[in-house]
Amino acid sequence: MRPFNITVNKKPVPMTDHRVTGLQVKEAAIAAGVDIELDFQLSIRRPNGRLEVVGDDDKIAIVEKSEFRAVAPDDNS
Amino acid sequence: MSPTYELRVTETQWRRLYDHLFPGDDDEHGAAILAGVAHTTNGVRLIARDVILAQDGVDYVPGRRGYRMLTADFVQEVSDRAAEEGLAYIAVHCHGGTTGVGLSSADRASQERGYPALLDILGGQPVVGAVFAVASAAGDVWLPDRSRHPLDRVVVSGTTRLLITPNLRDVDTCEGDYTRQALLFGDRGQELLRRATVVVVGCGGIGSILVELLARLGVGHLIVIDDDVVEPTNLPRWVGARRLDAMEWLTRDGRPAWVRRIGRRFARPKVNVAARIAKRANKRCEVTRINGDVSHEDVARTLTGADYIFLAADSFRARLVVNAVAFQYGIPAVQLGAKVAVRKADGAITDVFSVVRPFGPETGCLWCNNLIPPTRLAEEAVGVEQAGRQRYVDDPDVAAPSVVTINSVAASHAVNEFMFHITGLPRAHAGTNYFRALPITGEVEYTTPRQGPECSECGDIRASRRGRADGRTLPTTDR
Ligand SMILES: [Zn+2]
Ligand SMILES: [Zn+2]
Repeated sequence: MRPFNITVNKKPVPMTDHRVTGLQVKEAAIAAGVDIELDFQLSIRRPNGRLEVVGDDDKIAIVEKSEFRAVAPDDNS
Repeated sequence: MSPTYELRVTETQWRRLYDHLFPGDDDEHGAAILAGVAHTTNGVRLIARDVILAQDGVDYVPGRRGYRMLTADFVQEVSDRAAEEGLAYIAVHCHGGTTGVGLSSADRASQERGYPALLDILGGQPVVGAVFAVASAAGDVWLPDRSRHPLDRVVVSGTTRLLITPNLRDVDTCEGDYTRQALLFGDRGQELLRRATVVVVGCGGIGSILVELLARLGVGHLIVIDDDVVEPTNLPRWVGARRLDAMEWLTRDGRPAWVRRIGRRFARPKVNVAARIAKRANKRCEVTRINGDVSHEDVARTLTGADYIFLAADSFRARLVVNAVAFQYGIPAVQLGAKVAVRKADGAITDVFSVVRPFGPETGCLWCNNLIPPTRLAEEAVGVEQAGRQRYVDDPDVAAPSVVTINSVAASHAVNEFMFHITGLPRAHAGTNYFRALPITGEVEYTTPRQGPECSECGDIRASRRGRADGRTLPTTDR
């Protein structure tokens, strides 16, 4: 399959499959040097501009330029 | 305050029930609700798990004594399920009228005839007869000991909250100095704030701002929960904290360890300072202070009678417990925090954000949204127990950057959402989305949470926690 780029936290991440799990997106992002960890919360930006959470086992369709956010699950109060 | 009897339904359940009861034909229609039962400090709450519509002419037929009735078959089937699952059985029908409603003498007579037998069948759960008009509801709650109590209110919980009482005028007056803000949400909104019981779990930097804002808005009852004392490093971001609260001259860096220990012992519990903040903001605000950890059973129980829960504690165990309470007891909640993420290797700042994540009756839970990672939960349990709470807190790897301005973005946004929710202001706004503000880029992002289809916490599956109330144990550490 032809490799293509998605972005995770605005950084390019090369992918080869168009159907992947949330966990696979995070693994690919980490391999590409994006500064996240595997237990981060992942969301995908939908065509209407909205972000939507993607679970580790959720299967999603991705294309060139699919845009993701990955956020640390912990924060401080 | 005498205990109140309350039925809680989600917005989705309410829409289904309402459309069935009021299709526009001005006739009577019937249904049943199966509900978990909660004995809370605010009274008895019935948390709807299922709404079962009675089909006209099949399950709901011309009555032998009254106008209409539920068929014996329908009652049999639904009450059997209630008995099997340990849920309350609530028979529902509608009357004409709008803002006032009550049971008729025919309704009462049929209860007297049928409910003692139903109580026997249910073996320990309440039986309720409820009647709805377009904007009001009333009913009788029969308890296993045969005592009867009026159903005081129905709460519909969605993006906004709808409070339905036997008589609409019941909550129409507002007292005090709130005229300016009541211009936004009305005297009724102000009164609804006064009647609300709100919990703040975690009285740190964000919690202190929450308390200030909630008390000034006019919330009538605050429950504040924290097991820590004020430290000197809290002072820059604790609204209303004084140096004396932290015993600053004893606990500051450079003092011998034993002096600091004494200082800590005399430092003020955070909940005491929170209570002082609330009272100063609003002297009529009733404050319940709980100097304890929400992951303990007795503390977690105090959440079950709340109208809204703010979760501003750092631990994943606290998230696990509050998440369970929100779904088990049908209480809207919100997790909020701020983060300044620093890369360990070189100390570079990688991310700065304030975040507000609502969860509860109508949305997926924190668990479904990767916000309670199992590995982190496990690490935390080992860390706290083996190293001891004190070391954990003092660990320099754990002390994270925290700034009052970043905290206050999260606190303000969350209390705003609460205000819209509780006063029932209708609006076309995504109040169930996660909010994240990124001060460095100036962006604001809204994220739609997911709901795992088979989630044991928030899912629709039979085994889930949702709406089970006292029928399930909470995932507290002393279980
Ligand atoms: Zn009736
Ligand atoms: Zn869930």
